[in-house]
Amino acid sequence: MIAQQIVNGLVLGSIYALSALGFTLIFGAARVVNFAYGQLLMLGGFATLFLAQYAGFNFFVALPVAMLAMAVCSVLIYVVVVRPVLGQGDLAVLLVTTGLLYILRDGAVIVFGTAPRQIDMGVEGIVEIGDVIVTNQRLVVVGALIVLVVALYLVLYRLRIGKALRAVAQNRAGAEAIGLNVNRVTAFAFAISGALACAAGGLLGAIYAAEPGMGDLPLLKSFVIVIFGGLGSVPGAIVGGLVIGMTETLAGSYISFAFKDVFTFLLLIAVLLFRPTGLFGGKVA
Amino acid sequence: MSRIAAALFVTGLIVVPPALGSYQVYLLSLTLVWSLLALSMGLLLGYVGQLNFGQAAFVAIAAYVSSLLRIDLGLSFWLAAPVALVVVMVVAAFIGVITLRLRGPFFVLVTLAFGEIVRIVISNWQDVTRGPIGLRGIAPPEGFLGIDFGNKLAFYYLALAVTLVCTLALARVVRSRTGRLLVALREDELLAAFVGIGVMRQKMVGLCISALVAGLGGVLIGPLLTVISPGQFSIFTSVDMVVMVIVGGVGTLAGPLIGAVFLTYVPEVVRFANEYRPVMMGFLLIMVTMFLPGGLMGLMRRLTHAGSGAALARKAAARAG
Amino acid sequence: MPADPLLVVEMLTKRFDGLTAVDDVSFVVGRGDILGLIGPNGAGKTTTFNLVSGRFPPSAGRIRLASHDLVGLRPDRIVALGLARTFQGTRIFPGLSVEENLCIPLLARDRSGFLGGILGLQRARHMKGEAARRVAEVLEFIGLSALRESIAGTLAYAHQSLLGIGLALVRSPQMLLFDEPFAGMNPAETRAAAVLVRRIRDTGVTVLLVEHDVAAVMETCDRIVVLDHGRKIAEGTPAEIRRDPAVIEAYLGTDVDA
Repeated sequence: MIAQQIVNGLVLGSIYALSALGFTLIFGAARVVNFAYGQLLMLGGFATLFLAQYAGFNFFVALPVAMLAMAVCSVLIYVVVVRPVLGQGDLAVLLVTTGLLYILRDGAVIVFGTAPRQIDMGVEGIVEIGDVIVTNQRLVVVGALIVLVVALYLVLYRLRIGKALRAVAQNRAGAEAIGLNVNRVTAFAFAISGALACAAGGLLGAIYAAEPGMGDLPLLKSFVIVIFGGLGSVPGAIVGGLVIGMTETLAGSYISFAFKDVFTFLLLIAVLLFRPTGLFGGKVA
Repeated sequence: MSRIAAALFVTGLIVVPPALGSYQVYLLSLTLVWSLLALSMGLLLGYVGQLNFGQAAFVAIAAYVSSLLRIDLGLSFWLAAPVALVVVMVVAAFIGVITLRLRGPFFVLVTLAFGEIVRIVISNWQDVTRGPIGLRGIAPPEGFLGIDFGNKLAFYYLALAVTLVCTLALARVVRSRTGRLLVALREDELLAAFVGIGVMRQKMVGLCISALVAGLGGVLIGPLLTVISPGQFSIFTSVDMVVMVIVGGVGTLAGPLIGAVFLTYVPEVVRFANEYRPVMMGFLLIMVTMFLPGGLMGLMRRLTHAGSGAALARKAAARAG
Repeated sequence: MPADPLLVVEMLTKRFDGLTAVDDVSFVVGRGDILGLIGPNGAGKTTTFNLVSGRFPPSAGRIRLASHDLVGLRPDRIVALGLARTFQGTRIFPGLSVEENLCIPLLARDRSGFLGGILGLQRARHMKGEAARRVAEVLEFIGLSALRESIAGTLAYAHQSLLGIGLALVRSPQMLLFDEPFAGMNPAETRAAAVLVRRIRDTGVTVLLVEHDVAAVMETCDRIVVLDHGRKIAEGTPAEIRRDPAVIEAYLGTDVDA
């Protein structure tokens, strides 16, 4: 029983971690809290849905194609609404991305309707290890997290622009001083963030369903996770995602299902009381 | 000039409603309640410099505590409401202790988490709150001196009185020592600390005032709508307040009031399709932030001052100085 | 050792994540003195300054102002005890007028109850009596009387930095800490600023200043403390410091002997 719950927590945590990664990356690179992030996830879910269901692509082709599309979409958001107000301070950025949240979320209700639609992954069957049962779909989710995290680390540590991104995240003014194109690097961070949001959205759509409100909870969870793990920290997002997924599953099945989210938020507040910048935060002040 | 306009406007609010139909009066009452909520957010944004996405939780606590005290314990509205306001301020002080040392995004995100906790607890604490269906049949405030608040017009005048008193009191607070120190804090927090301002204490005062005003809106919302449920107090309600403040103009008291009228009364009157409302809200928020940072107040000020030579001269002097 | 010590710093140490920025530094500022704190880049002078002014707490050591222990106190408490500071590159309240700026520290001084604060019981529209006199006095002293109505953010940089000093002065501190008062100034401006620092001292305010411009410090200060790599390497009058071999080495780098 407990082993089963831990595996369930791991799967949930993987999706949370994926959602939080893209969110934390933008914060790291541009100090931007993107409230529209959950909607990128939702749009990614629908993009995957349309490619897989109606355009007839295999899920594993549809997802990367959708990720590419959402990367472009995310950069557009940066260029059109975020960049023009960056100079006005934190509040302005929060406001425009909140505005975008409203437009995209309720725009999706108008365009797509509210009916949930599941994406067909084309993967079936289950794996049994002792008492623990896992569907193959859920294994795909965990696998996707591993693949994407490895890919992200390769990009951040091997590619030139990835290294530049890390430099900008550590010291924006310094990076500018040594001649890095901070604007291009920030756009790149938005692109990766959009792609990661889409991956989370596509997977969520496959194991649950795609619907206009599907980005709300992951956005809230991303907040909790990145505060827990430290705003801007990549390992913080991964560990934070897994811990929160685990906490929710365990607290949900052993204490109270209805209040499982309350436990997450209380955990968050406890962390903040003792470490105001999160577990891996330290540097972000 | 603006004093005369305000006096005329208030006179209109007193004289006109008896001539209106009951739906119009209800709509005006609703606008007044939203004005209180917008004022509470305006105080936080404009004078404490903090964005609180959990503000709706203060409204929810006031609405639930006051209504439950009446329904379950049979207390009169006039006793239940002050108790609810005290509870809201205590909660605000508690939240303040946890969050006010956090900066920028951390503060916003934790207040958001707080708002969610309150909403989830209300949804699931079935025994006390009746869960997601909420409370129904909330009675109007008990009458006195022959006034029956079951009458929509009488309730409207009650809401109007609360809003006016609250606005005047806030205008006084803003000009007081508290208000001046808060403005200094908003301008430069580090400097404020080093010229001797107790930063936490002042922010706490600001947060408690804001919660009190939000609570006033909360105690009125139950009798007005006769129904309250957790869904009414989500983060989107807090965001609505933010939009009102931003559209009206940050850093003034008139701004949130104008924003509340513009976004509650106007859409209803022009029969704006409800399903497009959130999209319009989002669009407005982006447009105002990008192109009209002072909101409607800023726009009006610019329009009325544009022709006046004195204002231009003053501006030029300020620039030259 | 000054005859009448006002600020006593003993064995001050500050570590950040394993890096020791300030290492066992002690010095004393006598009442009515101007003490300069200098050192090469990364010597720990700014950290020392921030520790003394209460921006963050030391890892170890003691800081006393007259009979008061300052360690662990919040900035507003330290200001109340009579220790004020300025900021590198100047901080003011840009949206307020010059006069309103100077009222803020005085308003902060008055205490009101928590409930009184919430109810806005204390009016502050017009400063009256003693407070208004003090604001006028400081305006006169820093030479901004004519600009009292101007919005601070629109002032020329030189005027803004004068206002920054005014903000620290208005509560009549016993001691004032200057954070790089001569930064970004040309020689003429530096001379004028040095004159102002001495005028402030002549009104009875003890001064500690941290500064990059060694020549200006030599001219302005009575005593100088030199830091290098977080440690105090010399202390004395400007003449003594100028001759000190450890100081010369620290500033020229070790490759001189090599």
